[in-house]
Amino acid sequence: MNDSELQDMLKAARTPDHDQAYWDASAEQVMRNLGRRRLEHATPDGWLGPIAWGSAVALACVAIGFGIGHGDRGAVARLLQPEQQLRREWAVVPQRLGVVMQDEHGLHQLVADSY
Amino acid sequence: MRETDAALARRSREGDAAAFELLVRSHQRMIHSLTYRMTGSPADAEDLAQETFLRAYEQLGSFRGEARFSTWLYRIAINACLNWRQRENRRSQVYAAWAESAEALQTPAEAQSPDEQVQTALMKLPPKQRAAIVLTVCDGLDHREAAHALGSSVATVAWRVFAAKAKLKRLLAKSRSDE
Repeated sequence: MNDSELQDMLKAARTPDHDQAYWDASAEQVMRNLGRRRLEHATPDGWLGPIAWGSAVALACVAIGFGIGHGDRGAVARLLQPEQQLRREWAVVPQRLGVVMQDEHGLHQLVADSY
Repeated sequence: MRETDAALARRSREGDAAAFELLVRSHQRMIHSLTYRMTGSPADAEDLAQETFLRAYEQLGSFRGEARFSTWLYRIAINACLNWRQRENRRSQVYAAWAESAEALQTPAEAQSPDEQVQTALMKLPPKQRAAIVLTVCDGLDHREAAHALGSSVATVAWRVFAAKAKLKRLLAKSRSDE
């Protein structure tokens, strides 16, 4: 087989033939895929959505943490207040502090008249 | 008057989807033919043609009109086909035993049509030699255009065409003698 025969054979070899409907469907598929890909890249849901959601969650965590931190400090202060008051009373009337009780109005002590 | 490929490419770049669809419709037969000759499978050819046009759209910014639009498109299609070959090679290593049994079931050369004999012979070439012979002989590109599409030098293309022709002559002569 010489070069010319080979060239003729290669040029004559046909690839599978398709009707016009196939080509129309194929072109439409390209455009559909393209539209889908553009949507994936263009809308916030594609990549901006998770970032926005992540930022919102992080911000909420910081706010909650900040609130809890402040809340804790308030609670600790409230718990420490009677203890400080007791110490003061104890310093004023040592050995005479009989009963200690606390209600919604605060801390109450019953001081004995004598030792 | 028919708008030139370069003008359609410019409009596509500006976001005109209808212009890009015109480009797809005017080049899809050429690209399908190339991807079929590179893969030997109509289904893979269709997938690779789809992939070629999607990549082409994404890379429209790199088309500056220095080469013909079809040559630029050939380059994208050839790259897609060569990458497909690499994926297929990896897959075929995994399914080597299955491939052997599938080959045994293939149509014998004497029962093949001339078109099938050519395709079978093409598939036995190394992918880059196959690409060179398909572009230059089947699709009629000159060596300079084929070099541009293949991303290699003209001398490399000439060598690959020479080597591919020598191998094809042997393979096709054998197919004829088996008939």
